[in-house]
Amino acid sequence: MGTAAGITRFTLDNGLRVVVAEDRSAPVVAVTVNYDIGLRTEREGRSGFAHLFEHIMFRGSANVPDGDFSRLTSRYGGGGNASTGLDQTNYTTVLPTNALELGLFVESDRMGWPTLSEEAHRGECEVVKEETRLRFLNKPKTEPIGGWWLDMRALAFDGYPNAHDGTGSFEEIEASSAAETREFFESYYTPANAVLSIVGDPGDVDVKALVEKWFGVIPGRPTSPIPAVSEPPLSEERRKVLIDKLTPSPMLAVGWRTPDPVADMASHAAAIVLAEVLVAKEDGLLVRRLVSKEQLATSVAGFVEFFGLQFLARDPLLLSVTVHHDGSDADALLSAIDEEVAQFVAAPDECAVERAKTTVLTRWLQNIDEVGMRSIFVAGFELIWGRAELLDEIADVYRSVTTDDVVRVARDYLTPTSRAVLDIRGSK
Amino acid sequence: MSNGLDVWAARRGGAALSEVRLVIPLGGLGADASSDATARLTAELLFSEAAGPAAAEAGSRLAALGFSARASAGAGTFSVGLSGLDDNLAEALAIVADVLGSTSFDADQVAQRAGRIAAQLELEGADPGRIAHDRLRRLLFGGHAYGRTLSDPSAVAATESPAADAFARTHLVPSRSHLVVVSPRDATEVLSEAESSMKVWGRSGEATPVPDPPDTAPDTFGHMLVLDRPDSVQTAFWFASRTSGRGAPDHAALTIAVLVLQKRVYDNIRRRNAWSYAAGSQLIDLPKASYCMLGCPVRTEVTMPAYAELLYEMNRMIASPISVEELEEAVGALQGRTAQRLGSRSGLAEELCRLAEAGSTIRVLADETAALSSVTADEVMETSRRWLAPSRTAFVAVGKAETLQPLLGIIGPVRAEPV
Repeated sequence: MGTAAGITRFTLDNGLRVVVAEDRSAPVVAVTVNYDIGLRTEREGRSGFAHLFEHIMFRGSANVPDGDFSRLTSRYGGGGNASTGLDQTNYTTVLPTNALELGLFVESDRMGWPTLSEEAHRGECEVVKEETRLRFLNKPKTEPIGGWWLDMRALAFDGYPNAHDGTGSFEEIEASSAAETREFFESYYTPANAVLSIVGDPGDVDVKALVEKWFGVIPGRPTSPIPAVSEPPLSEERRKVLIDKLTPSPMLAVGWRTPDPVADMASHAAAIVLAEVLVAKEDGLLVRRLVSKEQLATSVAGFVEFFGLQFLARDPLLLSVTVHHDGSDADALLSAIDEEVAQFVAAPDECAVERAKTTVLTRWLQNIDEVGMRSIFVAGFELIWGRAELLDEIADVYRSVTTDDVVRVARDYLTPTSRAVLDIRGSK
Repeated sequence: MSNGLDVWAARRGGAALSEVRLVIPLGGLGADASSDATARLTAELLFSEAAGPAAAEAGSRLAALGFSARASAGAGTFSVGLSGLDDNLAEALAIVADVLGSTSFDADQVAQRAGRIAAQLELEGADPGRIAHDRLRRLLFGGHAYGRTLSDPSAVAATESPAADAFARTHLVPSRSHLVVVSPRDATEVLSEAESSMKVWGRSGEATPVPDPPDTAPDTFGHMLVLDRPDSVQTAFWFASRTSGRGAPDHAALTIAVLVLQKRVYDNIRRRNAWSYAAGSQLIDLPKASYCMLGCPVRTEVTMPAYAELLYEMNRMIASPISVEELEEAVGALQGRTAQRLGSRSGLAEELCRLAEAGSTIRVLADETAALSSVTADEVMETSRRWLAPSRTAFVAVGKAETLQPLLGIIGPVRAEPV
């Protein structure tokens, strides 16, 4: 579906892996570079650095002056964006088919020779602080993708990679230097630590030749080791009370570990289905119990990390459930959650599982409808699994999830002793 | 269709997914808090057991078919969005048609749920960007249905089932409503399927198009309104002005002007000064009015210089023509954005829905794209003077009034109100 003409791949002498997935259903093409470096791979004392660096990558390169990246691409009808995830940072430009070479030129120029000026560094330090204020500090923590998520990771994990605030402490961002951005670039933004994906309609060009022309001249160099991020699960519940002045009413957030997506993709998929079983609007087990039946909550939501980019992050990850309420007792909410999970394990509702599977599958297909998102997944799958083909196979992974799989995940992972609980209280 | 429903079908190849948009005009309904609350509550409950037996099953049946459905109300319309696996499109549409035509709201369920919805609305209403947008809409459109984007939580909490029933009977009607379906299959086949499924939606009456909004009150312009939010760590800065709409002779020049202004604001506020993460402007086309919104969130301490720079960029647009490079870049960007938007099913569905509501045809898309190439820099300047001048703009800042009012007052008239 997303790869109508199949995948072709090759690796350049400098180590850059390249994946081409043709789809000629619309005259657009996406160029994405995924680097295998994200929030979790920042060193202590430099929280937020991976995200800061992502910003600086838009501030000029040897042949693309500061400000010209977006000017050039938009002039030719394109647009781009980037995002820093837990383990990967992706840069995506979507262009009309006839502007493919422009996309390859601008991406290669900043892969090889980003300017990384002092001015850009200082400027983007201020900009990322404003982004943090905009997304997290100036709005209620309890918004769907609000600051609660950062507090949850700080509580659920002990190791710095997983527990630290990836948006960055303002003090550490301000203390960073342009020299450190150069060092970060040299260490991690190497061709061998990246995958280039070209997804969509490339037109009638020799794609491999174009890639060689623009990326082949980038010198190869070794990549610094990426720190390990694994850590054992919690052995007892952790709980924390937070007061948030901007939140109008309280929310309970509960986080549990999920199965390792790389070592056990099928079980991780089952965890994604389980989240839907629990929180589906109207029909979710927790919605029925907490909202409809006992009116302990006003709404229930939940997800498995990482914000629509499922399977693009490695273990450990969380399945989180958020419960908005009007002052219910946290223990009463947790007891109800535990009972529902136990009842599901003892006597699973197979219809609910099938509905959840269908919902998750549809959501996945919608997620990859847009060519830019497809290119991110193609690059990401190649980076982690060496299998961009997963773009077409994930649907079958979801279809293959069984009720037993979902029950097993609920039984083994959603336990009262292995969770983190945030009790967020508001201004009222 | 024989029931008066206007149906569009479009083919978009690729994945076996469908996107559906249904828009029901509500006339002037929604201008006041009470009618808006009724419309909002009805939308929130439409696919729940609160709306009757058909609705109670609809959610599960749609999920089993691989569809998700969401209803919303605002700006004089009631909308239903449906997306899912194309193989089951006909059945999904039939379920939606059945729900729309047979709602019967349960008093107890409505009473229980209204409070929960109100709690969600309180959270929505705590977002500074949404607060700013809502107030700007009120400033631009007054007591018209377009003048409200946030529903009043207490009004929603007080809404009862008879009001929802009356609303559904009177307003959830097919005649003069619009249905758009985007599918990977042949459009003629899909059109036939959609008509067959939707004919069960048999309510009588006609949907009423939203009335023309009044002109903006002159005393709205040129003044800064500070909405006091004492715990803010950032000022949400937003400006807005009414503009001409799609189909107007200067529309192409206007879209270029808005994009160039966006890029200038971005370059100034974000790239050169690093005062904001998100700075820019957009042109929003509603069926009976259009407006430009410009803004950026900046940290409280730089609100005054940011305001000064924003005014500078607005004045630059009206003082002299844009450069050839800016014009060419904007034309390329706008043409590319249209192509990208139409390249996804949801983007195509949204675009066709807007055309249907406006009574336009698909030819408009080609005409608009072509018209961009013949716009001149002088035309962009003239359009900016007509629509984007500070003297015809409403200004809102959501933040700490104690800090903002004295500083912004140095630049021009300021008044403060609580959020």
